[in-house]
Amino acid sequence: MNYRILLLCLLCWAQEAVAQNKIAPADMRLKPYRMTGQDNPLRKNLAFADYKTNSIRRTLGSFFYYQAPSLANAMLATGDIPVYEKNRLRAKDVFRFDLDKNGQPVASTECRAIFRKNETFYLLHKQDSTFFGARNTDLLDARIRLTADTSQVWHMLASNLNGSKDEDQKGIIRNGGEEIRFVKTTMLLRDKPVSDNSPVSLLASIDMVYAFTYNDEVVAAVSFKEADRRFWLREGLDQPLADVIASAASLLTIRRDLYR
Amino acid sequence: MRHTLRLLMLPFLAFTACTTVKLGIPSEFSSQATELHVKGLNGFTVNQKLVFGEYETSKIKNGWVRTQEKNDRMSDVSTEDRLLKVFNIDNSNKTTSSDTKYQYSLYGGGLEAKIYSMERKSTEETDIRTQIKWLGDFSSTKNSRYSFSAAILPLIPNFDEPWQVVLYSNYEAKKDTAKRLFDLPYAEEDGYATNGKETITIRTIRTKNMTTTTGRSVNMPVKLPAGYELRIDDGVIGIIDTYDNNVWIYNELDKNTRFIIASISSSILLRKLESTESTD
Repeated sequence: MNYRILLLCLLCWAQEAVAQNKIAPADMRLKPYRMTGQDNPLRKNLAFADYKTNSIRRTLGSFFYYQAPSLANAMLATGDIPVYEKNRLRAKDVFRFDLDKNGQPVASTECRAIFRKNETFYLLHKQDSTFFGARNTDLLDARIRLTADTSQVWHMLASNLNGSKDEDQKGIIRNGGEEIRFVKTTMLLRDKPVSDNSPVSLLASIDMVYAFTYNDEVVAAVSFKEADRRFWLREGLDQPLADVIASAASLLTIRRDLYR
Repeated sequence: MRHTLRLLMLPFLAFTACTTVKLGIPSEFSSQATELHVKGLNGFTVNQKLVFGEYETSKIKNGWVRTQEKNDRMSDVSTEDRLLKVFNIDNSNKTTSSDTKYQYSLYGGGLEAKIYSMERKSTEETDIRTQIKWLGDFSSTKNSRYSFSAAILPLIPNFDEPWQVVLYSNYEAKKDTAKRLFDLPYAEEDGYATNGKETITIRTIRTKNMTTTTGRSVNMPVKLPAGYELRIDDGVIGIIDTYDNNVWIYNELDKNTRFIIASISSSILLRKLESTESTD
């Protein structure tokens, strides 16, 4: 029997849907901004709100990955059908960039993301948690340094941003006692900024975003997908916080997917 | 299996296409409500106008339906992705986004409102290329998000707070609990209209039972979306029948509230993208 037919029998389908569970109503204090750039090789820099990135530099090693050879994989395969396969891969993404606001530098960011894949497949018995990424390592570590006060260095840590593990894609940005958390989620957000007497500003849509929370309140969000990319920021947020969040949002947009 | 389900649905769809079916309205409500048949929904959308009961719209200004399809960032790694990699089956992660807008004015009973509406849909799929001629290529949905939003600006003296209407559906294959053929998948959905003081809940009506114009009952194998129920404080004040394009409005409402119900109903019936119920 063709192994592809067997594989197809293992796949799931979606049909007509039933519901319940609610997404919170759109927070009208989050002002949307279009985010442009990073959509083709000639437009590397991001531009959104009054912010613009520049000097994006990536190390040469970020463009390659290493896959460990396995003798067991070669021996335990029948033609194209693997009876057993251990997949080990190492990849990284190391880059830095500067962020300007209205032409003035406001922050400098350095990031190092590592991904270690360790997944094992068994054809003849039930998969265990290693197949579903339990042994994968997916970490991102970054430093955001504000130009206005170079002693203010915000440390950012994130896990599972490549989505290979069965847990939330989330992170934390910390400086002393201050903490900003972010998580990938689905939110109802405004489509257009508020303008006087325009009911169009009441329109909202669901978006898959990284939502940033500060003091248990959502203060910003940035689109997860590349199509129709936008950034939302609460009006009246403290400037240093806004600059840190803008840097983090840029980092999450510029980073590359490392899962192969 | 999706193709099999569609084949099974063909006789029922053919039957409903030949015989007009509509949502069966409980007599407890229909005896206290007025049925308004909406004319102008079918046919050309150039110079489109709706008329139902004492209400009519201006020409509907329809925007283009913009669709964008690209290989976008993967939201997460699913079991299918892992199996496809193990067996070296050619596949790609594709995100399709569509959006459209429309606006018009509604008149009726001496009242007027301007209505601005927007729909947006985004679906992430895994495209699988089997290289088998008879099997062909197919796709598996990872997640799907649909949202409909409208802003209603009533130009009514002493009653001019704008209303915001929201309908959305959010499906994720990872959270899906459907196991059997006719199980309905799990999706987050909600609908409401609010002006900041009052909120009207909009609930999708799914039913297996339909009624023909001659009053005969028809039973479907699965629950199908047939319309929407509008409620205030757990009391039904309006029903939108999307099969037969009818709007039922509770008789005991004041003129202004009836007008708001008519505004909400017309904006929902004019939607163009796939409805909240579909996760294709």
